[in-house]
Amino acid sequence: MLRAGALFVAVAISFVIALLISSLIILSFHYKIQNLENLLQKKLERNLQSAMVLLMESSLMTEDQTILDLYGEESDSVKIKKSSWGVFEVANVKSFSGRYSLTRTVFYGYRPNDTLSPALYLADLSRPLTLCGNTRIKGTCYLPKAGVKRGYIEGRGFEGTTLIDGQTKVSKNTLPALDDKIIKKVDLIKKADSLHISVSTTGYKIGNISADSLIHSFEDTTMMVILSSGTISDKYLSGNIILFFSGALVVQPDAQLDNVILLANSIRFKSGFSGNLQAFALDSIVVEENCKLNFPSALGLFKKSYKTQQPYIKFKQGSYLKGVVFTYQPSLITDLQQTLISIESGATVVGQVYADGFADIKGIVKGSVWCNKMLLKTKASVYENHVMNGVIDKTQLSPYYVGTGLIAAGNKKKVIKWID
Amino acid sequence: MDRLILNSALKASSLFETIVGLMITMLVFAIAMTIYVNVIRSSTNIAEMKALHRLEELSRETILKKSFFDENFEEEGVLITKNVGSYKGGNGLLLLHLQATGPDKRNLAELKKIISEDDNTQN
Repeated sequence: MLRAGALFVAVAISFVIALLISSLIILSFHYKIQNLENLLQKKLERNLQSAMVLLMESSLMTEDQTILDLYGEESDSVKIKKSSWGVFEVANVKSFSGRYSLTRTVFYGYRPNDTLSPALYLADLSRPLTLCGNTRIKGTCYLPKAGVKRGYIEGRGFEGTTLIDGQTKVSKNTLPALDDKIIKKVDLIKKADSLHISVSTTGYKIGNISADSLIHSFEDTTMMVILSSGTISDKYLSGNIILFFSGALVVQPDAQLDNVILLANSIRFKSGFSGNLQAFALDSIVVEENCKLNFPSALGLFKKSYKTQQPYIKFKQGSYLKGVVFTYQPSLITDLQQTLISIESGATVVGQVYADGFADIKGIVKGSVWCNKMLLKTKASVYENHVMNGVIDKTQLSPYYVGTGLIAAGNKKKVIKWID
Repeated sequence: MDRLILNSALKASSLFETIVGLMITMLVFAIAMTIYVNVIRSSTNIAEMKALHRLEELSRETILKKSFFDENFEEEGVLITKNVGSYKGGNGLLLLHLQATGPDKRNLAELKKIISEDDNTQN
């Protein structure tokens, strides 16, 4: 006998309806959660942008690490952690709400102050500037009282029409000083004498580059790698890493370096190398032919008191750097052993060149040059305050260029690049 | 044509059983409809999403055009209020506060952002 059960059928239908409704509720809940997450994500993004605006406003961000409630409503929290990275600054900005957070790391610097950034600042050491050959200097120049004149070297006189294409002002007998705080942070070499140099590893995470690649985030403690070999070759190294070598360090063209800092007694970038880094040395830095150091890169040289030879930075033909090049000597040295920045014919530097000593400009500088003296080395002789076939053109530097706080920095901080 | 021949007796449901069955079905259906309506009402509101999107657009426009002043206007029945005030006492920092209110005076969306007076590179 087949039983007809209306109650059973009703319960079955109810069960099916309940199932449908449950799935609808779950679906709706899922979409609602997703929507809330999306809204929260947008809010965190806005708060992150607001935090970036605060960070760029130096007067409000005095501490190295700050946690802020942006609008005093206890729902818009941001954490800003800033530190120096070579001659630039790095900040880690995090906006968070409960277990959700959004983090960005940024390199930032300062747009050069126009009045403090001439095309050429040549200290007044009572000698005129002499220009020969196809030399072009464009932009405001600070020159010695003795002025600028035409010269004649190796059969070539000055070939242009105007000596300085821009305003000329009288310089002082010393250069505008580099920012001492940044110099102290950058000069990590704590112990140096004629035999060896060393760094303090306190506060760093010690690492090694035994693997093919090493990527270390700027959110973590800086990694210090003490190199056992003086060659960096066939490695990919990126991020918050300082590579130290006590002797002569050679960087091969197959090395890929991104945002790292190199520290050694001397550094040589082999022909064809391309990367984005900061390199600081005591003895010399040589950028060989066709090397490309992309923005933001920085090369710095520190003359130590025990050193009697002339420390130098040399750019060979076809090499290129966009960023900052500087030399630093602890006290006023006026002899021939003061530091030298040499930019050979065919080499280009875009940015700021600060030689606390001599500058030998035979290539192109699109930006500013500061130096105690110009030096011209020819096969036959050495001339002081002479420039031959060199180009210094301040107008070629982009108005959006962001440099370091080391020299001629404007008030406003600007983003150089986003890292992670 | 074949015919289906039922060789047994078919027991019909009693009137009581049918009524109870119908009541259960109706009750479950009523509860289901209530839940359905509530779910639909509480799920993502298109008007709120549109309002927030418009506020984000306005925030970008304000920064780009440097229109750092208060204003109120109505768009498609939604009242948009823009307030620009100094953030924590000046320093060239401004607090942009945008709010969208629906025709039923309900707050549809709100947006707050710190902006700099002299920088149009932010978005």
